[in-house]
Amino acid sequence: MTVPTLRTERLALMAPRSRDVRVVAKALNDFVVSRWLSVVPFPYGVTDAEWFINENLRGAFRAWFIWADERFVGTIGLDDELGYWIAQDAWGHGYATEAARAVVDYHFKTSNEDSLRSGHFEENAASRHVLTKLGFEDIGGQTLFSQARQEDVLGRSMLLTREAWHRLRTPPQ
Amino acid sequence: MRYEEIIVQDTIEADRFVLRPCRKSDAGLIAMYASDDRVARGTRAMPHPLPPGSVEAMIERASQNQRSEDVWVIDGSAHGHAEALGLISLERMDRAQSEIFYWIAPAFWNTGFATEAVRTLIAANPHQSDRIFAEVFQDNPGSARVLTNCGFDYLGDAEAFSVSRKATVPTWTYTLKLGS
Repeated sequence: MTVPTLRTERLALMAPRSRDVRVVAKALNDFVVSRWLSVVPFPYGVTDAEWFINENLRGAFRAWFIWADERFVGTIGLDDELGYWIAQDAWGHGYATEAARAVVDYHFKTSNEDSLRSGHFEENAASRHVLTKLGFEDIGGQTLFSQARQEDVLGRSMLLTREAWHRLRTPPQ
Repeated sequence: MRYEEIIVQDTIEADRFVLRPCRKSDAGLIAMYASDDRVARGTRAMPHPLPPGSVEAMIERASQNQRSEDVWVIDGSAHGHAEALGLISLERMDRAQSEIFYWIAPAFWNTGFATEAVRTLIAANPHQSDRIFAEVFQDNPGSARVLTNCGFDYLGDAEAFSVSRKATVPTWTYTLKLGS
């Protein structure tokens, strides 16, 4: 099934479309972004973006492209775990937190899972900040191979329980 | 001696029909209904005009052990109706989730067959799913009503490509929670 569009105060999260291929390939062909990701190669080209979009269209991946007005600002996905990246020229606006909050809500509303996993590379303080703000807790170290760097990178594994999600989204009385 | 794993697909009884696995002999009747543009337009994958052999291929796929989608014929013959009123299917997604698809031949529209078929299949829950998802084109409100009649919750808007229309069409997405 196509993932539904999720709307937040400033963002629209939409299922990948074939016509998005160029703007996505351009934004992700940036080592300053992909050095923080495990599965994304560098350089990143149109064929890589086409493959990713097609996997979503056939239902193999569940990801959203993030748009601020008409501007592409990043990608967020919910497959084995929560993963996301923001285009370099859109950093510093809190877009990752805003998008991740919507996707986390979608996950807990549309699944019966008790938790959601995510992770980040150790020096990626910005990504850690996004996850801790949403209630994720550090559950230990992990080593992931970074395609862009072509080496193993130390990271942290993060977990958000349904209970923590529920507590944080319900304002205290 | 060699054992082959057979995925058993049960026949499920409803009040006015049964849901049963496809047979090769269904091809003619299914192809007659599926070649109707009004049916194809409501689906993502069904081409129009319908190429010869495509229903036979669908039935062949639906009989393979390595399938991800189970297809049932809505068979009214025991109750004085047609042997094929339409099709209903469940495709496995990840994590005990499945997506439901259905169509009814236009001759039998507005008789509640789709609602009865969806309700019956969900009650039987053959995939033992925790969740069922569904997606309908926004210009097909009758199909959306089937889902809301059966207790599905609206999830949001999306869009999907329709092969028969050769166009991307806005959709509504729905989910129904089944597990505890």
